[in-house]
Amino acid sequence: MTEAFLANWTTQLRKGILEYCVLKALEDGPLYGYDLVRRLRELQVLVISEGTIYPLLSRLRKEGFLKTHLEESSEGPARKYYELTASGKDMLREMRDVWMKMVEGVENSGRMKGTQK
Amino acid sequence: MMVEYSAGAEKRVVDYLRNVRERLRTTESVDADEVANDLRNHIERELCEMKQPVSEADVNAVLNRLGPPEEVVKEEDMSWWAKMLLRWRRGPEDWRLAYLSFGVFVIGTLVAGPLGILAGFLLSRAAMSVAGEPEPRAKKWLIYPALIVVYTLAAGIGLFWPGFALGGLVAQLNHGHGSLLYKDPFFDNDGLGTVTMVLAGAALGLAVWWSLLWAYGRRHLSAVRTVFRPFAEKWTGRKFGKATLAAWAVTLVLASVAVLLWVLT
Repeated sequence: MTEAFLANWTTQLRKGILEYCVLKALEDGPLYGYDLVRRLRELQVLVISEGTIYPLLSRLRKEGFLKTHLEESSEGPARKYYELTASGKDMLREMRDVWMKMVEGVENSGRMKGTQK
Repeated sequence: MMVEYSAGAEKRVVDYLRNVRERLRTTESVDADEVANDLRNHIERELCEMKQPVSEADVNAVLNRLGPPEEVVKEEDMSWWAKMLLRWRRGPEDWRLAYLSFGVFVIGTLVAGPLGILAGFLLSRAAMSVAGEPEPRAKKWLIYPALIVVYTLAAGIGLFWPGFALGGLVAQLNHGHGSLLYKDPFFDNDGLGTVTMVLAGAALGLAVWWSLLWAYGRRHLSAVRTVFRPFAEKWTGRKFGKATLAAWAVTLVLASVAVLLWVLT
């Protein structure tokens, strides 16, 4: 029961921060879609299925936060790289602020002096 | 590096991508072709690192990591009509029946009139039984229209027919036999006395009929609740008893007025 509750809570938390994680992963420069998924997999950010990342990337591109370009590859067809647009960098900055405040707020909530004895 | 597929392996990839693309086409927030191509590249990128030709099991391992199409394109991302179609095609029986009953009710009413209403009603009752309780609000709006129409008609006819029957009989008696009920010219067939008498007859018919129904309903609460399910789940018959008493009171008043008018003239 406790394990199931924790697993569910973790899944919801990961879902909620997935967009932020994708933008954050692209902060240092363009990434090939496949490499981006692998990086997120290593960070254990992916919730259940890796396939959910691609619709998310498409959505973020349509929103104007990402742009793509093709690069030739010796191993096969041209690879599509994703990178942040200026708007995407702004969004990442704002999301980071929200995230930091949230983490700080949650951490401090237990130390607040109030009515509890 | 090109991927070599063993028998069945390529078909598995093609089927997977077709299913994903089918779902993607119903979303407005993503580019279906772009995502399908990305997924294909991802699959081939993983498979090209494996021993060639790749087996169906290799493909399944990659696809399992990607997740089934319904996880890749979640239902909440789909447009309302796509969700409806999806539930219709793949959804559980209770949803299918709900949509079917609504469709049959609307189209059947337009095409076949009463028969269409009846068909929609029967399917709605079946959908309600399959769905059980509690039902999602959206599903109620698919099931209830046919039920409301049929219940209203049935209750209207079942409750009020004696009023029309007895009122009509009184009117017919007065009309057919000249001034059978009232001899005085003041109370001719179109007069106040006739109207009062007809209304008194109708009220009497209702009062008697409702008394019978009330007596039956009090003893067989579950039967009434079953017939008019789910709208009569809390039916106790008390309000109907009050209505029956009111019908008797109206009957007495109207009959008294009719007699008074007769005596006065």
